[in-house]
Amino acid sequence: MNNPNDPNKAQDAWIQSAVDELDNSVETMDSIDASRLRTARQMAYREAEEKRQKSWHTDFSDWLNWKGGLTLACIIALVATVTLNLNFKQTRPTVEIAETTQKPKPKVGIEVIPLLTAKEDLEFYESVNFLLWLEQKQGKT
Amino acid sequence: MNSIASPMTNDLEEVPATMDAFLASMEKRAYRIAYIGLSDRDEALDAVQDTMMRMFLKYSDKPNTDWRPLFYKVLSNRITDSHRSNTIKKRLQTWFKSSESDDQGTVDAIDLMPSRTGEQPQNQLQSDASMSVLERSINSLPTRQQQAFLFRHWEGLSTQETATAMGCSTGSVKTHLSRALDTLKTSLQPHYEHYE
Repeated sequence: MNNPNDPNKAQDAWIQSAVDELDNSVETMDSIDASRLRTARQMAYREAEEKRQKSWHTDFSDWLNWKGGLTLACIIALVATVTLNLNFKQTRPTVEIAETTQKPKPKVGIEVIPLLTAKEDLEFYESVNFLLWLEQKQGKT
Repeated sequence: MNSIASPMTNDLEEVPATMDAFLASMEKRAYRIAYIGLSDRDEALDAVQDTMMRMFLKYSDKPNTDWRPLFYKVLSNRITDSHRSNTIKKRLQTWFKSSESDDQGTVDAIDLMPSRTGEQPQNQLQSDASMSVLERSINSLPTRQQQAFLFRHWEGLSTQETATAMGCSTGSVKTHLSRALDTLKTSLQPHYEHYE
């Protein structure tokens, strides 16, 4: 079993020597390199923290820039729609009551509007209308 | 074809509960892997720092049992990225140098500038040359073979975990590892026998 001429065994030996030498090189690393590595780790931690915060701020400000604006516009539109809808619903029952209890108002022609807005007495227009009618009747006959 | 010796496994090792503690336990080994892969202390440190930052940023909320393969995946990608950017830099340098052939003989002031650590370029070169035979042997392997060897045999990741870390299939891991062992055996076995 333990053949000293086994090539795999020999390979194991030189690999083990190489691994031991590498381990030893790490254990006996000079203090300058060890100190630089410690500083590098601290700097890496600090830089990572800065980047993380920066990315959070950047993401938030980007979101505020265009998505926020869009969201705000949508919210305003939604609030306006809801408010108008509510107002409409509140006024609608009174309209319905008016429709059911009151008689429908007679429709008036557009020619009546000057009569309603005029300062003169309504009797004056009635007499003018009578005279016009009379003139028309006499003209026909 | 060599039979692949089963590497030691670290399955029973407890993973620290916090990301900071986990990274503290990994940083030295990660630095070693990055240094072997990139042959440059500053680049290796940058790669480890970037990897740690990514781990803090992206994977802190993942279960801590997933951290090890994820950590090596990020590190492996970062090393590959460095290789790519170095290749592009070298190509650009070659292109610019060929177009500025009349500058030959003058010394470029940038070559004389000390590095970020204050090391002169010559000293930096010497420290890179002082890599051990083992490190140089691993460094001479293609990146994927380096990673397959280091992740499987040194870090003790399973074949599946190594495949996750390297972003390839388990079959590819086995192939890369087998080739790496073939190459390393020729350079390292005589070296270790010599010291025994």
